[in-house]
Amino acid sequence: MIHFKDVSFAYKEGKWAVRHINFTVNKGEFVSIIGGNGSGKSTIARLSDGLLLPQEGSVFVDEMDSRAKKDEFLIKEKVGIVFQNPDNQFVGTTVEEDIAFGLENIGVERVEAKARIDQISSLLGIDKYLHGSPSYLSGGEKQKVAIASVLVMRPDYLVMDEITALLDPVSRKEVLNLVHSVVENKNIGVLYITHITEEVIKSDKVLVLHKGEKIKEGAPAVILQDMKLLRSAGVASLPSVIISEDLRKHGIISASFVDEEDLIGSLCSN
Amino acid sequence: MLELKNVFVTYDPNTIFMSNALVDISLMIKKNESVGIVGRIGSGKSTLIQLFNGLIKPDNGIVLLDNDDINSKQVDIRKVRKKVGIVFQYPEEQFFAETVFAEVAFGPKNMGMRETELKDAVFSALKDMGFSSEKIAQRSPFSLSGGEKRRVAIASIISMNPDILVLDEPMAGMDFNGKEKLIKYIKNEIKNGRTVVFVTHNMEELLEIADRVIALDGGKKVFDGSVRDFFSDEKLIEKIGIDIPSVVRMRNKLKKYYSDIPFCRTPMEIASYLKKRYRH
Repeated sequence: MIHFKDVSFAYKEGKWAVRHINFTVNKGEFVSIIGGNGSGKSTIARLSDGLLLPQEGSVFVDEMDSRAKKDEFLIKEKVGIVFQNPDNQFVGTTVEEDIAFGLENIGVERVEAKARIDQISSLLGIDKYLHGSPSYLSGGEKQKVAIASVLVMRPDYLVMDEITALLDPVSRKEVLNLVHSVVENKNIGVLYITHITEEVIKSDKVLVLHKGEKIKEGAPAVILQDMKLLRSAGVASLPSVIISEDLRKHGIISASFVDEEDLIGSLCSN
Repeated sequence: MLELKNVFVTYDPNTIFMSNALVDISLMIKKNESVGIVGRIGSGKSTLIQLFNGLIKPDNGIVLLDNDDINSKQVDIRKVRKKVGIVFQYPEEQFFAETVFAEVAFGPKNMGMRETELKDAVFSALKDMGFSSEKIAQRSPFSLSGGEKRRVAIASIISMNPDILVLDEPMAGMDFNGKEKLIKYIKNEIKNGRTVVFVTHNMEELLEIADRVIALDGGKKVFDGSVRDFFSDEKLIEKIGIDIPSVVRMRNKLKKYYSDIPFCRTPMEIASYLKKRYRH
């Protein structure tokens, strides 16, 4: 379990980037954090594997405190992070070398490394690019390579910080679906950070972040229907919710719907 | 009015790196239109808009602004650039001035605007971009929030009062609040008579702002028509890798049950139609 216990962090003294943050991510759980620019989302990503250390409160990864020097490497092995811009994450001259980099660093044997790379890259559908240069890949493909580089390390937790922000809408959906399908089978805990409302629909729970504070936590169906809450956090509401809230106010339907099909179904059965 | 006639642009001609950025593009942008330019990365969108004010010259074909060939020696390119103002991607990364005023005044000053008019031009441009208080003018542009920076950057082009405002991915990197404001102010510019051309990947943005869509694929113009017709052409949309926005998708699904539902640009337009429908 990743456990944020009353965590506060400031880059500059007196100016909290995140304040009193509490939440947990269990193995096999998909937790999303949503918020606007400057809400503290990326700070939380960096706190979760010890890249940043909290000034107040503690971050625990499977009971290990991120501030304990002796557990530093173990925590980094357990928590894999993928960032927004894949170009900043490439080190190898071929895709395969790139994915292998982390494994070599922790001394995984060649045969074993090869097996892991083959398995993950076929899972992510990037096996055909393994011997090419990462610089020729599209944004979506690059991001898949970045995810593969983290997955071959067999982390228990995967933290993703706006990994679709620079992708076009089609690859955005593809990458997100892939993430869902990969982690479902692996009992990995996911912390998925985004400002795109649609992307949190399939999460187990959603945290809403605003100006460094968690203003709400709950099931996506509950969070996504709260248009006022989302507005105050600077994130968009789903069209299906905007429409159904308006119709509900006018007594045309009796409930609000997150799922488009449900809304249409309810309208058309009338 | 801006017109491109059979324009070709080739990068690195006569070398092995030669590539056709734009192939035989003809188009016309009329006064007070709002045109969205769409296409994949590398489809030629950014090359296209740089032709509009002479930053790139065509290898073949001509670019006409109010019937003058902008690349001919008789035409003063400065006048062209005053008429066609381009805001590039992440424009705030190019801030250099100490105050917002100096930043926004830079363009018109360079164009030779007199001090007396300058102040009015700056404050009117800032007002257009939603800064109603004049206090903002004395702040450092670097101290502003991301959304404010973007709007100041656009104001620094609007202060030259261009006939045509060209924006390359104006909403890139902005969150919902920032986008919502910017969409409002851009729509106001259109309402007040400015011609707006913008490049975008975001289909919600396209739906809300544009009347007309020009789609590029591999340097060729593959669509030029209304937003409505664009989103009806599912084959084309798939070909150029665009995701149909949920408002359009929902409207199309509803059409099976409500055959008279009009084309809708926003969720509220769908809601309004349904409310009317249920009142009867």
